[in-house]
Amino acid sequence: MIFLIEFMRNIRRAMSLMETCSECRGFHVFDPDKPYLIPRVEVGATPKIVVYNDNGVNLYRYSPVTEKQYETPIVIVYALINKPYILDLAPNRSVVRRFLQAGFDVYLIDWGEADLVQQFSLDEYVDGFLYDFIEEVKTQTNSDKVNILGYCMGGGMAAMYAALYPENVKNLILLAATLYFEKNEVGGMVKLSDKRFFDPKEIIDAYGYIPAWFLAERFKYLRPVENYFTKYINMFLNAENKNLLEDFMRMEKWIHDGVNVAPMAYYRYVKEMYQDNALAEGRLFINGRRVDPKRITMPVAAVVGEKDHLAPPPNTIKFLDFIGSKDKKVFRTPGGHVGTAISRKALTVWDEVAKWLGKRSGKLIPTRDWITCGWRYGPICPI
Amino acid sequence: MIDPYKFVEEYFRTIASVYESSYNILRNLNPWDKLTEDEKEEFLRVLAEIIYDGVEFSESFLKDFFMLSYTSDPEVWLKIYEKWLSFVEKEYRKLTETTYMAAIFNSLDDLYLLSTANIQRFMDGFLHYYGFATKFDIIKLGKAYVDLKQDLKRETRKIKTGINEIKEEVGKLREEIKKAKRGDKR
Repeated sequence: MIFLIEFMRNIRRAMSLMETCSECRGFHVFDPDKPYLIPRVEVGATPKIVVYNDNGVNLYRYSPVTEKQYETPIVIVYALINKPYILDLAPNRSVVRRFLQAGFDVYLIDWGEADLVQQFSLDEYVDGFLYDFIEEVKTQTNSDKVNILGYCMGGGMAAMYAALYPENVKNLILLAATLYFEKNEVGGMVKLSDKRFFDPKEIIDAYGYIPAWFLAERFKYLRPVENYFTKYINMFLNAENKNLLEDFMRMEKWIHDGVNVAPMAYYRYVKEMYQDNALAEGRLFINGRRVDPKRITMPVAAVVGEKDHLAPPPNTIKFLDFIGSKDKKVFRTPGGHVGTAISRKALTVWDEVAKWLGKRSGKLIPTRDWITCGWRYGPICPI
Repeated sequence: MIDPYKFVEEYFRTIASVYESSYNILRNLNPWDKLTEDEKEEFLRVLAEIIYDGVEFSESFLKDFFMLSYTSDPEVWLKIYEKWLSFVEKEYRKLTETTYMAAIFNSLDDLYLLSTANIQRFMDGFLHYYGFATKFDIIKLGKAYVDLKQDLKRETRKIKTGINEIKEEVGKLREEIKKAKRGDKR
């Protein structure tokens, strides 16, 4: 009898799953760099426009939702890995929207997809693209300084930029940022990238760039049972809950819809950061200039997830001991690496972060028209 | 005619050699020897913990399992199943966080990447022989493009800084001229 009941429930679950798949019109076309079934769900809730573009790297400006905004804009520096729509996944799960509602002019740097031709190194990303894009934001907003929010690897790049050009940064927010790499204290990816066992040159030799699937699989190694097995079982058992299923599909899309990374940028980030802790110890050089963390003297906030296994809290928090800033604040969320940006509990912490930033971002001024600033560079980009 | 004693001797020598070589190959592939004493100890401690936890868990799991025969509610089945899954997740997580497991994952990656790179090098050599461009030629071109772009950016920045300096100087001169004109009028 019990088996019959469970059998019927399974039929209901399977039907619900098929229904959701049909709603999202199946899966994306197979891509050799992303050999996964990626559901076609809608992501990226807030309208945005491309306001600047260079070599496939886009600078987006989000549509304002308030009549007045703080005079200092915020630039989100995303990681080179994966796509930035995780910060604006759905209307109720959007860090971007929280900042817009708090009265910030929000810009985001999307690094795009690297290929064989784009052999950019960290030098170009930090001192080339990031520098140019921030200069562009300063020009467009008529401000001398910007607020920077760096997520994951983007946090590392934001910290490098802030150390090189502190005069351009008003406040720095490090969200689950990978900055401090003492393997016994941090663990996770730092252990997996131990220099005795991992040489990033081998991937470059084989592919010429870092394929999206390789990075996705390396992240999954750290929680193999969850990522390859139990996640799907739990999804099936909860398949009758439509909202949960939609969230699952969005997450699946984000996890597998990664981007290929420029080889030399990844190589240097692993070799000098993960394997040598060069940024925290002041031994990193960008374009021949030493990146001294003591030059980070502006207010700094670290937002960390208590359950984050990709960038565990010490990965970000310990770095604060090495910087020159006296105004430092740590915000802890109950989620993991991604949960810090999308979980409902974490989003309440983001309101506190926005308040903290608001106090340090100057006065409120009338919002600039968001369409006119971008029309000359490109069309309105819905996603 | 084969000497039976010689044959037996050869047979055992071959067996011993195969065993020794296989052992050495496995030892070379296994990263255990590269670990420090602390890392080895960490792995063995975690392994012991997992065995202990497993024994402890199986006791409660068996109790739950026997209780199932008295119930017909599928929710109870699910709860027990989920409990088992979360236990496996937790224990496996402990294991993957050890350096030894990280080293094993990396050596598997190494094997895959090295073999892929070798096949590609062979194919590239073959294609180059017949005058075809390969992936490595595109990479070289890409590097040249990046260098050029960086040089251009550097020069552009210098020019921009120069223009700004000139603008400042012109501004100062204008101010001075204005002041001088005011002085003349007076």
